[in-house]
Amino acid sequence: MTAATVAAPAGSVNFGFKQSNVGLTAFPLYHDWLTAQTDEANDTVEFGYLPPGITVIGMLNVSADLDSGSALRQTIKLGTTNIVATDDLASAGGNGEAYFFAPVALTVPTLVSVVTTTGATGHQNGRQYLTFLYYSTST
Amino acid sequence: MANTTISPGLGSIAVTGRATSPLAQGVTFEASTSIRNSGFKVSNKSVTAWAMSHTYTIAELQKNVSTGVGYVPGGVTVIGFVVTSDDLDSGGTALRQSLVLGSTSLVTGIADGANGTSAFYPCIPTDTTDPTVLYQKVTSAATTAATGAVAVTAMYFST
Repeated sequence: MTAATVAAPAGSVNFGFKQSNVGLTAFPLYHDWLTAQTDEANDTVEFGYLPPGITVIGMLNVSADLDSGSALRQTIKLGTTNIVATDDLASAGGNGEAYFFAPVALTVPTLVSVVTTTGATGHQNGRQYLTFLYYSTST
Repeated sequence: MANTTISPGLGSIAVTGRATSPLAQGVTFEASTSIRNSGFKVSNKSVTAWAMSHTYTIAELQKNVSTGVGYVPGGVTVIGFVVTSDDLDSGGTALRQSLVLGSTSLVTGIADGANGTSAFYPCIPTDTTDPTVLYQKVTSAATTAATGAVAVTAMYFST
């Protein structure tokens, strides 16, 4: 079976807010997961875009339990950069996690995507939120 | 009557109406409405923080007791909380608490009160339209409850 790819919402390349100052801001993205999107490796879901002219410093991940088992692993990508690899949060849900990483400066609208690296044992529908923390680096 | 205080970041405000112990399970202590308009909301989308605190009595650490620690302002999106607690369970580590914004449970299984620790808890991004009470609810009672303070700092941005 070919791994599924779910495109980002139409027009979302122009979503996202960017401040005229350097105050830290947050931009939540979410996706409602379906069975075919977590059942095998390389399933890819595009959550949306972050705007250009910003520097991303972290991300908050809050997810429903998407796997009645515990096998599911996800890699979260910003453009082509893996910012979180083989993460197990969505395999159990519960409280979220905060991730901080080497700052990533964006010059173009950049896609956020989640790639299944290990498929769920028993998929469960649910919503996952990814909230990115960033500040403006150009106005 | 055991009064206590809430310190919503900009000074302490007395809260009255604390019941005498022992409390029936499921009691809810509302935050004082005098602080309903506390908390600040910035005019842009910068992430800001609002620090609230509460000093627990023994009676407030029984299972299912909810205590309003303060208000989150309207027109914001809450993204997480920092919880810093004294050790409120001197006899063990059984105490577990949750954070409930209005009627929505956002964080569960908080063990900082059992150990006297501090942690950050992301939550589902949650919009407010009006000033909304933030409760801390005891979901598992302390082995041996001990008085002490907890600080809860909400992190949010304006919507």
